[in-house]
Amino acid sequence: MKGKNLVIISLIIAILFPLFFLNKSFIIYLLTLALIYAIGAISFNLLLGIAGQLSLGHAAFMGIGAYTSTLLVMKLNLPFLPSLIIAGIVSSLFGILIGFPSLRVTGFYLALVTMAFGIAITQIIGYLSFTGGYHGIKEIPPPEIFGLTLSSDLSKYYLALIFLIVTIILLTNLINSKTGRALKSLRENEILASSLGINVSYYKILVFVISAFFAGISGSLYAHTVSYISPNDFGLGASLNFLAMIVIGGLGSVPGSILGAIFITIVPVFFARTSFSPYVFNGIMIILIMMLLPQGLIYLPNLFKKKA
Amino acid sequence: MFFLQNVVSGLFWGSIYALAALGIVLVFITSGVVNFAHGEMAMFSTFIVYTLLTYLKLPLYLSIIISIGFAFLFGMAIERGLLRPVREKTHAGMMIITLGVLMVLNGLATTIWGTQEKLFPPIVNREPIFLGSVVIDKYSLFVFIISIAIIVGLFLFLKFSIHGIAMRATVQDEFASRLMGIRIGTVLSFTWGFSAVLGLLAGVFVAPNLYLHSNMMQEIQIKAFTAAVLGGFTSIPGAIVGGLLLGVLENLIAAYITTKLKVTLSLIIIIVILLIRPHGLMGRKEVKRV
Repeated sequence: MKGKNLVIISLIIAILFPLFFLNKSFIIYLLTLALIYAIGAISFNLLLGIAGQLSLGHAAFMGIGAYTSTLLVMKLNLPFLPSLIIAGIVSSLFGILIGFPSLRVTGFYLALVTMAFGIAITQIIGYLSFTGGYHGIKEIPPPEIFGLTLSSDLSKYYLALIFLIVTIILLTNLINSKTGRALKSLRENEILASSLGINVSYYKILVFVISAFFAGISGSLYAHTVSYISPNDFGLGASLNFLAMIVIGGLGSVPGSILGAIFITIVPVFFARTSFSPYVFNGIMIILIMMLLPQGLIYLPNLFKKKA
Repeated sequence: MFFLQNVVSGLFWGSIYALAALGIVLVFITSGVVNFAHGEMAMFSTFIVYTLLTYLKLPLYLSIIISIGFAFLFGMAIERGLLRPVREKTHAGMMIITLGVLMVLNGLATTIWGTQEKLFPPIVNREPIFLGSVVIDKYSLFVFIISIAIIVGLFLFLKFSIHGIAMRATVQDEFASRLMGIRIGTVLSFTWGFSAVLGLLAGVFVAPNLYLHSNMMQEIQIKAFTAAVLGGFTSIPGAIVGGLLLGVLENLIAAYITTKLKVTLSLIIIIVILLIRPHGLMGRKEVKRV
């Protein structure tokens, strides 16, 4: 009952919060980005936190989604919503491609493959001409739904919020279902899982497909919100930021992913006026959390409860 | 002749990949951690050389020697301070911590030295040497010979010295080695220090060709990983053969097809090797126990 109240309260805050900053579009823009990253972070947490597959190329899936959707809208004049769905599908096809090596290898080998994949994708996008090369694509049109152009910052915020809520509902249900339990068994012990009749290959590919799909969706939203994309937005640095989000927020926790995404998106603002790179801060946070509080910041309140 | 020329210049890059891969493999076989920060540690130490050189106006050789000391202590400090405390608890956690170290070092380097690319002097000049119809510059030849010498030296060290034998014993059986009076902790931090020095040398050798900047080692690290995967990740000769093979292959593809998709080539090699022969060219087959 208490958890339900918390969900309702955070939902009300999420709906009302931007209304206090109506004349500060920068803050709304930043919050929108945080929500979009939260979608990517939850999907990454499904992969790493639930199924235990360490991928260092998650931002690449987001990039594939962003480029697919942008090119469909700008070159083929497709409407926004179909483009967004196709972006998710194309991204999940790449998920299958990267899921296959994960059948043969586990642990750090997978991290290597995905790391190389993430860097290779940025190089390929930079190499091709129809993607605009390393200069990227400018002036991407804002999302348009049923003839309604969502060009204001506030409308983009609510669009991202709706997608985030849908993602939360779908993935939370997935995690609590039979499939979710099968995925957790992969994380704990693959050999044991297969001896209990769990089809390890099937679930590994499945988790890559689902995770890449939602990353692709978040990429599409990103492209149409920021209206500028370039290969470097989706490189190794971005993938490591995803890692920072879920490690800091809480591995395997949906609310933790959202908390982490907000944290990692907002913190750089405080460093904007200094020459200090926020990357350092994120790295230090990862190390400290891993050493002192491996369950992530979301676990912090429980710590105080135990003492009391 | 064009072919031979490309093989020769591929060997230069190959020896650098081999050096970097050696550091990664050495750490992996002794401590079981894949050090994702290897490249950034090397980049950071190379910047130390640069700082000593430009701001303190020390001679190049002296700067490198001081930095070797720095890199050694740095590697030891990371192992002792950050990884040892979680060693008994989580394995994936150690890998994630090295990723954190990667981020910190990359960010620190851009904060301290900026994002501009910097010129870095080669250890010897680039006088061309003619071997029949193949041209090598003196610097590349020098790097190749030094790398091979280091690798051979390391091999002899592991084979014959008491510390090398202790290291190999730790690889085989940590518990039994501890019973034999080997200090596992010392072996571990020693290995990390050693690996960091190998990384530094790779950085110093590659910096004159790539310019010095904070992302310099990112691609080198991917290639070092590729070399290690090619060789099997558990085998030191494998890492060397893998490195040289990758260098030559990459140069031939650059010469005959395209120069722009080098990392994609690495990705393809990694995936193909993992699918066909996961234990690499020279690694041992892994047997898992539940």
